[in-house]
Amino acid sequence: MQLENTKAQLRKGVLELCILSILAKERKYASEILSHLKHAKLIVVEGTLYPLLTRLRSANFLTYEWEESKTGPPRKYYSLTEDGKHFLSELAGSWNELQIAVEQITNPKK
Amino acid sequence: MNTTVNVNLAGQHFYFDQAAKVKLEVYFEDIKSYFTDESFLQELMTDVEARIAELLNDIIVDPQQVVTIHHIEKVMEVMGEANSFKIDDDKAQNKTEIKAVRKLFRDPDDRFLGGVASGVSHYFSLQVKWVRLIWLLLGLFSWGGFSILYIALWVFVPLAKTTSEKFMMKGQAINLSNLEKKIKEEFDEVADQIKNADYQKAKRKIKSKTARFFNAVAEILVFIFHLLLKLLGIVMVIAAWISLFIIFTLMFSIGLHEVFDIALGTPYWPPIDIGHTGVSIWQTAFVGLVLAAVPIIYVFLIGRFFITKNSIGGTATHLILLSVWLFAVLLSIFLGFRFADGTVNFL
Repeated sequence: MQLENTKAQLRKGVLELCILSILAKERKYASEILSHLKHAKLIVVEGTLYPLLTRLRSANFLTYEWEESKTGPPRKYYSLTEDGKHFLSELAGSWNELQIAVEQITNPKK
Repeated sequence: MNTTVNVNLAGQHFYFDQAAKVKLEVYFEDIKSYFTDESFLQELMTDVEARIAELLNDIIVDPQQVVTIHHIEKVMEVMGEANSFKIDDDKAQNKTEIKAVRKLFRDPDDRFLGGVASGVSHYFSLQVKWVRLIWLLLGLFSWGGFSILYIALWVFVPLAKTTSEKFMMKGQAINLSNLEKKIKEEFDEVADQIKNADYQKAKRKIKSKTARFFNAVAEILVFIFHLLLKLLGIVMVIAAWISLFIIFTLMFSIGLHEVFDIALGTPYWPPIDIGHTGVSIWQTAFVGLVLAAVPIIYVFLIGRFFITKNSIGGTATHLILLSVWLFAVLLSIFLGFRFADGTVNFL
């Protein structure tokens, strides 16, 4: 139980970074983002994604456009804003530092 | 066979099973319960709905096909349980869950004397009428000693005045949706009261204080009367059942006895030679049974009527019961004559 909790916490911590990364190169809609995340085994259930998407959007790191789809309801295509790009590079930098720190602690070199 | 409802998800039409619709509604409510910001929720739920519509489109091939609870469960497997939507760290978005506490209060909205019974009924989740009945029984069996306990309760148990106290009285959680509900209820009550206000004013003017006092006394007496009637009804029903049971057993054993006697060729039983009526014993016993059973059935019906105040039995029931009984009466008169004609042998 404790293990699952901590694992979930770790995953959730990096989720925003990953969402922003996925959107860095091209705009995508929710299902596409989901399939990337599922493919990388970062999320298991889709419910985890949506509140984060909404939060990033209300923080103005993301923006979206509606597009009609032939196979169903219209879709929101998300892309990064300027602020979003800044935020992403900050987070990515943070992540790199974290990686180095953790590496150092778990595999101490003489 | 089921009812179908028309559901609109993200602007798309689906045919839903009634049960599936309810399940989805509950799912949405659960998700919403983790957030307080309305505009955030609106955006979130739009996205969630759109995604669910997408998922259902993949599952449902034919537009005439109905979404069942099974499909919703599959969707929920993909989306995750409602708590997957929770963002733990963000205090601004999350609601703190307040545990529902239940405390003993007196209820000001449902009082006979002091609201003690209704308060107690809320605390123990019983219906008020049963608590009042228990009060009555306790009072009777303790030769009035219970009234001291009642007065003590009246004095020491506080009245639930504020809304949060009323919630605690009923053991409801004090959260936004419950408060909303409560406010709406009270609004409706006030609206109704305003409609009745003029009527009440007129009524009050006519009744003087003494008249109202006697009114209250009369109401108490009527209430007690109804309670006693119910008790009587219970006794009657039980008595009727027992008597009917005994009679049936008796008749059954008489009949059985006769069967064995004939089979074994032993002398007739009982000592009184009812055989002279030219009719076998068990048939006489049967007539006797009907003669006795019908009045007992009536005791049962009246007793049940005292308890439930539902119908005392339809016209058909009465017609059948009375005509059968009349027939039995005539038969027994007929048998009685036969009996008198024949020799009465007391062995």
